[in-house]
Amino acid sequence: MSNYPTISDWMDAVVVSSAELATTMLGMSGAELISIQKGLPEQENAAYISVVGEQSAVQIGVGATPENVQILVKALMGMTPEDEDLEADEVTDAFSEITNILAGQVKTVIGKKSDIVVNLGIPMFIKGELHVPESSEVQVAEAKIGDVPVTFLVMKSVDAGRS
Amino acid sequence: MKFLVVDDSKTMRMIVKRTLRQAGYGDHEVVEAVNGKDALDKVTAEHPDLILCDWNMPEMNGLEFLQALKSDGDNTKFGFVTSEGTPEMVQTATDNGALFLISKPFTADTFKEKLDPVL
Repeated sequence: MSNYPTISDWMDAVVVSSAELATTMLGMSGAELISIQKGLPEQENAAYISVVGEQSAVQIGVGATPENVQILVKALMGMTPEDEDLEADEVTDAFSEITNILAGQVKTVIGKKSDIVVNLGIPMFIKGELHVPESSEVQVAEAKIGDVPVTFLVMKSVDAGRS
Repeated sequence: MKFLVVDDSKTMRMIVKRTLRQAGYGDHEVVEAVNGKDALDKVTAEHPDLILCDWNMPEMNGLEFLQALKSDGDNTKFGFVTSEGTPEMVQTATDNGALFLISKPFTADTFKEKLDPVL
């Protein structure tokens, strides 16, 4: 990896970090990248968090269907998929926390391979269709956390790391 | 023994409490605070034996809370439980008097490894 991680470096870090998250706090078997997608994900539930430094500005997102979001947040809270669905505010808090934990691990993974200094922003949970400015480079991946289909998204300013 | 769990996320407070139980500390009392400012009040009111505190929180973050405790001469045992565990943060935490930093994701074994030596 060069001093400035590419968008693929960031996506690799997301996949590695999600496997760590899965086996520790979600009680799942791991995580795997299925394929890199063309275009943005269709309407879904997703949590995003910014990872920003002087030389890098990246947005990391994890998306899933409402049913699969429920499975993931129940796993985080030590529940089974068959347990009663969580309320909306609990889902927002828990799925944002999943993204926050993931981003913290991504920061650690990137930090071992690059000397850039970044800080985490505040996670947010969004339901709807994603639109991004043309000045952004975006990579979207179809993946699984355990057996749960998810979408990983990395958005990077095209100027980040060039100044 | 009494733990004070400080985190702005209700989910994370619940997970920390569950992990304490899994790590063998289920018989101990746990009180909660939602940020550093709230935690300062809880320390005065509850006199916890160990504080487990998130780093990034609104109102007053974990490091500011730790520094406020130390400036008051309070030596309650203190450890961070946080999303970020870079070497620089671990150094900052210990320089300011924290006994350990547990970075997420964690397991019950992580809690035992960090808590057993200080309790």
